Amino acid sequence: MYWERLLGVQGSVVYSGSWWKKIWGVLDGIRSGFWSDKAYWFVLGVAGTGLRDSGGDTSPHWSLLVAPPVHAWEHRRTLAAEEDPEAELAFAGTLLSRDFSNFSAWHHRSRLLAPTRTPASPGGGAGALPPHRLQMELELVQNAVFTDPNDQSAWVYLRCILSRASPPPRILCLYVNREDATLAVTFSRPVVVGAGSSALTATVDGSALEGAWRSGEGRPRPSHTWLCDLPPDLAPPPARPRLHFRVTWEPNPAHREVTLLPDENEAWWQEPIKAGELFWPEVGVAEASVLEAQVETCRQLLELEPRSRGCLLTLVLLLSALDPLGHEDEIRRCLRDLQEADPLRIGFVGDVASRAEAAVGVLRMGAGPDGAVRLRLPRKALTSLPLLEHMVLVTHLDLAGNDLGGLPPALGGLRRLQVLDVSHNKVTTLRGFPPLPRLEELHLDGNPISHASALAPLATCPRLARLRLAETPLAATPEAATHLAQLLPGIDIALA
Amino acid sequence: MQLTFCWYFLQGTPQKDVTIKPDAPSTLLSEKHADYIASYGTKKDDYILILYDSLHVVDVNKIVEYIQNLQKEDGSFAGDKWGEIDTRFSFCAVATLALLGKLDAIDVGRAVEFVLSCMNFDGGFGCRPGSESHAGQIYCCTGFLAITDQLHQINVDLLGWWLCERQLPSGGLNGRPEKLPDVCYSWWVLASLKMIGRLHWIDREKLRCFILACQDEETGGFADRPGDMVDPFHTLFGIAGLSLLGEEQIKAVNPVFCMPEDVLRRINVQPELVS
Repeated sequence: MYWERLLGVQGSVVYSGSWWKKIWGVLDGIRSGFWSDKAYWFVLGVAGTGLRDSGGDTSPHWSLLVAPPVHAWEHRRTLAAEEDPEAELAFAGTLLSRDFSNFSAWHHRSRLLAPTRTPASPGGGAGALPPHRLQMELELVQNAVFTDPNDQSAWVYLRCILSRASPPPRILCLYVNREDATLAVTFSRPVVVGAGSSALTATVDGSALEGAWRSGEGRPRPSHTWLCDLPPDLAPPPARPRLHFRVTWEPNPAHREVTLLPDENEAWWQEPIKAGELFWPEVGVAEASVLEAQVETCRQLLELEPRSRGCLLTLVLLLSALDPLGHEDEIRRCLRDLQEADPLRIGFVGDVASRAEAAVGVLRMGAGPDGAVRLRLPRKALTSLPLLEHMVLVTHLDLAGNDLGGLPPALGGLRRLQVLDVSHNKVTTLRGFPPLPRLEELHLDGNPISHASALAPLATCPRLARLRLAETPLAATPEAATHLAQLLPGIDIALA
Repeated sequence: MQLTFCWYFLQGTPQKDVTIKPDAPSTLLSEKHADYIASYGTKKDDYILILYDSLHVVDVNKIVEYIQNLQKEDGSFAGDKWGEIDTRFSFCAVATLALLGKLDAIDVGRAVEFVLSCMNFDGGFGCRPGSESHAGQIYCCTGFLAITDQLHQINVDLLGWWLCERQLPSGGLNGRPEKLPDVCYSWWVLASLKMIGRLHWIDREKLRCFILACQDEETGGFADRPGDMVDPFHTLFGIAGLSLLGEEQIKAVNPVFCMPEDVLRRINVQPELVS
């Protein structure tokens, strides 16, 4: 900010100039002698703002006196670049020992440690902290949370130091279906594959697939799943050749492949699921021992402060990263306690608990002998439906008796879904419901659906044969059967 | 043992929050606020231009050129000729250009890259790469990403968590951990939550009570927190925040631009949000 301007106008000569160093020396003396660091920077900030506001053409020297404390920390970091980072860490540590609620001081530490992080993967952003650095920070956090378990600064910092940068989008699954004549690519995060974009390319038996990519969610919006139609002359019936597909997502050099054999109708490749990354994808600590030590710390703290919500949420993160199935009872207990301890954030905790249940459900998915993949999540108090990108091979999805208010467009990635049970939820409309090519049976009984028009998107599901609407306000209306027959012809609709 | 040692020091730092008095205002004093704003200041004609469809009186090309010249090579924007770089200015730049229908006048790709480089491990954004997450900056960056149709690049669950943690027992929202609540943060945090589809992650009723308690029953207007002096800045954000919370007496306010939805509908500028 002002610093760049100062350096830009006068050059580095000014900063290294001896008279500037004297000024800093005087100011430092005042700081250590009389004022707390916070007051020091604040006064500089006020003085600087006043001087700046007094006229835009004031000498650039005065621009050194900066705006509010947040910007003062920026300047401190610019100075620190030329000083000893260890001394800066010690400085931040001193501030924290006086007041652990100093979010800026925690952040200052994280910035000083940033260069020590190893890259997670080529182009993957910042990785984990080195073990010895991490240990120091964990001890500092431990002091903070035991001093004040309700101070959120330390808990936020803890999550940051145990995390790496969000991994960039990568391909999780390739699915090809001979009958649908479609290749589906599912990503770990929503992406945009625009018309004319060369980021996503596919070949079949070495030749480029020329077709345009479209979103599996029914609208040209950022999506998890993208579809490409196979050219009709590729395998005209009754020919059933072996087809080999290779897909590349440009930002990531690794390509993915799937082969459709002559006797197969469908084939897929799916990235093996990393259990510890389902609930907390940003977890950046590989050593279980580090996470286990933190689990112990949290458990001890909870014995003293059972309602520390920072501690409860952190424990859920840690247990999910270690072994979501092995710890599922403790995870559920913590989430129940968190709901009681944090009445302001009931919506947040509900969605967190939904994510935990979805993770456990995904890990328990079983494939049957007929190729059926069943995912059972009935009566789990689900308020949202996350992790759909890991459910793309599911054929039977049981969501009965939950608290879902709607169904997300990301459901469009479930190209194999045949039976969907959303009975006894809180669904009022299917607006945004994606076209599902294989959906045959849909249970919506016991939902607050009152208008036939709410079901209009179902007309885009070509194979829908059976629809249950018993115990809905709609079913009780006199013209329901007529309206529905017009809206969704040829479908067996049960109103009772 | 270290644990026992620590236990003796188990003392809470006093939670930074306000207490709402039982006699604080609990209903919206619309008439009072209208009078307050109408009587405030003398140059209100200037800010009526867009509201009254009078964009033709400004020199659009000059504005576009000014903004173009403020974009740097790394995609960031300066605020003025003095060169301060801040994501606030990235937001101002794209918001202005979007309202004028000239978003393609700048290098949007580079601008997006710069804003994304300001994302922190807690999911939030600061003023420059490496800066501390701050609710005001988060609003600017989230608004920027909404306008440039890049909301899918945000880690929604992580940012939503950081944002909903701003709510204090009084119901008000602060701007960073362990700070006092402030009505203006109630807008910036609330609008950000709305843009990423996580408005239900805070207690809306308690926030509503907090905002209403910030009204001055005598003069009209809103203050930063209950009992303080009112000013137009906090009045704007108090009213806009109440609108986002569903207050029927107030028009629908767009969370990206902090302008009435019907105005934006008229000029066809309504960025899509995360549902």
